[in-house]
Amino acid sequence: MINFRIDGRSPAPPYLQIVQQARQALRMGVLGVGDQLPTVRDVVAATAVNPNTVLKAYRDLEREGLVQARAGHGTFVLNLPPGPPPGTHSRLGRSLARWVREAREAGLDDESIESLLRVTLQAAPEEEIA
Amino acid sequence: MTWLTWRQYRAQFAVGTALLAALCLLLVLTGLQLVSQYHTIITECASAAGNGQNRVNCSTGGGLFVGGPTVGFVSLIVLATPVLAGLFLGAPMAAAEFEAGTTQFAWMQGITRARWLAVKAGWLLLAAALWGGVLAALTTWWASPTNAEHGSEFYPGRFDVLYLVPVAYAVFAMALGICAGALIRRTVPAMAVTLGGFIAARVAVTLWVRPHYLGAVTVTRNLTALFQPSGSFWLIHQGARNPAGQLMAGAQGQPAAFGVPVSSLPRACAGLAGPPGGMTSSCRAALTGFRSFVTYQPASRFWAFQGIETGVFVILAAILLTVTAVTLIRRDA
Amino acid sequence: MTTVIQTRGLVKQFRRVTALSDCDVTVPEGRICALIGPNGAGKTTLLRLLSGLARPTAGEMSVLGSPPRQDPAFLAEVGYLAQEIPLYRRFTAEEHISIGAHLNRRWDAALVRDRLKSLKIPLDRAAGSLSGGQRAQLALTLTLAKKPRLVLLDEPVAALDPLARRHFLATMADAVAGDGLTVVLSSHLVADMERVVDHLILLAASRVQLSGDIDVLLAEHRVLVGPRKDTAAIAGTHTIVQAMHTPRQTTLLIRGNAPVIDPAWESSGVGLEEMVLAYMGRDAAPATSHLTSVGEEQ
Repeated sequence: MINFRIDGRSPAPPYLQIVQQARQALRMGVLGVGDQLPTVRDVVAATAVNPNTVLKAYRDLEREGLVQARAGHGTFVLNLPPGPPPGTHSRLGRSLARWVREAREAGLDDESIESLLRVTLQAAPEEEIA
Repeated sequence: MTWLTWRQYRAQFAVGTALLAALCLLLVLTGLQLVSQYHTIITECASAAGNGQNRVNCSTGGGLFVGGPTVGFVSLIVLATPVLAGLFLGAPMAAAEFEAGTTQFAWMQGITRARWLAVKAGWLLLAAALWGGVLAALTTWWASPTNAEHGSEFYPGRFDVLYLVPVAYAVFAMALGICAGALIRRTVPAMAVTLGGFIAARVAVTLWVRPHYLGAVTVTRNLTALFQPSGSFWLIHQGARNPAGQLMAGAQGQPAAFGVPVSSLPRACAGLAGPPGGMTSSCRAALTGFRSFVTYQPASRFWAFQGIETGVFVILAAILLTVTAVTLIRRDA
Repeated sequence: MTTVIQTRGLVKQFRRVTALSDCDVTVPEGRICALIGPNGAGKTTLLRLLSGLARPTAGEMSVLGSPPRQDPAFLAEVGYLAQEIPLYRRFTAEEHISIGAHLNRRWDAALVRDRLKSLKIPLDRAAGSLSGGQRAQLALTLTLAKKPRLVLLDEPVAALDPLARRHFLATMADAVAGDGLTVVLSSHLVADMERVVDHLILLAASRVQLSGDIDVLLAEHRVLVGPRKDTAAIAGTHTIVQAMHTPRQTTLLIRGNAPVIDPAWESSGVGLEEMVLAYMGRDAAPATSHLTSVGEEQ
């Protein structure tokens, strides 16, 4: 079972945040096939969002084929999202942590690290083309 | 709703009962004291009569029983108590709830405003009537010695504290308080209006309305004939007229006879200013055209008056309660 | 979809003040509707009219299918919570529960007790000695205990701290999720309620300035930024809600579904708070940098 968090300051609307967090949980392996998503009432009680927001998010996930709503029982995970297996994320996450530690020891502050990451993300497609 | 009324007024009910009990105790104690004083005086009078020391009618205490300051004090308390209920229970009934905003809570529960008012006011009016009734019964018992002495229960000040009318006053005061509270919606101004309105109504009715419930009886006699209505009558007006029909001024500290100054009587009666026994036949002849009159309400009408006054105040209460109901239901909460 | 509230030409006039004029409002079933407006805009007046506590000077109102009336059948379906949280100060929560049980046809006492227990609010303390947040929760739960179909809340979270606010809105949203309730809650702050409301009524200067489904309204509004220029062309295809000019730049908030063709305009979406502020500030003098978010939670 995962806990959804709604960030009021994020530019993404609440329902989209739920969708993104659910997908991320599936990628990271926190949720597996057959697991139940939190009930609408649970999410509402924890985050004080409109119930329709949760319903909308779950419908989106259902449309993507990731979950299935079973009337009277709840919403359950049907498939994982396309992409690398769950282990990949954890593995890459760990190596990223190692890189960040190295960067900090080299004297980079957080702002420099973030701008380096941004530049790299923007440059990467061009490098592939090249 | 009855349950809620009880819960809201539990404390006031306790205080009111305690207060009533204290008043009853006061009345009982002073009453017993009065009774024993009264009997003592009668006994003394009887023994004095037996010794030939006076020729006074001892069955009524010989005009000696006064009762002392307690009578006046207790009478005042009993006169005032009906308004207390209206002041401390009636005025806050609606006003305190408006001030606290709890009408917005109560009136959104599943009852209508009409039922809210009917139950709350109903119980308060019943309590007022009971209060008034207990007080009236006890005061009637308490006042019997003084009534027997001074004769008339019909006089204002005594009429107001006996038998039926205290119940009507209490109900009226409660209705006035409830109405003031519902219309003004603030407790302290409502209490002020209740107090002022009660006093004004009681004074106005006693002075200007009560004497006219039934047409007063006027008996005119010769000036020399003494006339005293029997029993507990209520003297409205008395006086003397000269042969020309003009009203004669009363005696103010001057030597007087038959209720008028001797100086205003014919010269033949000048001797009346002197020692008793100055009535001569020439004076009697000179006084032929002079009349004395007594305007009064006969004792036989006492109960009719009690009933009418009760009716007047009950009708006033009913009008006030109708105004209250219409206003509460139609105005914005 | 059923309509729970419908008003047409609603007017409320006091002796010298017009609190509401010509209000047309529609609220569908199952919505959590925000009634937004500056202080004195008429929000409390509108809620009192809808609940039946006050009567309109003119206009038509339909609440749950009929005009509001003082009878138990209507009162059983409509709950109202006034801004001052009117509870009997000397009575405990348990006594308030008894009052409700005595006076209402439907009453779920267990609901109140369970919720208060989970929020750790004592049942045996006088309401006057509870904190503001506790009183608000008690009053809300009592309003919900009679299982109404519509609940009207007047500035329920204005005086609460952020945690109490979160609990209050969560309780309310949970009741909507569980019982199919419709809620109208008023506030003069948007940020608190943004995540929980899906319908909007915007009152300003005693009139309804904007009303409808929030997603639809946000999709219809856009912010255009461009070099200082004449706005006649845009005015022809869209409604200009607010225009701001500096010597070099023009910023517009527009409403309309047609595409903006002129490439000189940079178009972006608008947030709920920005949109609300723009409508509220239309009659007021323009403020500086009004398009940055204001009133963010501390």
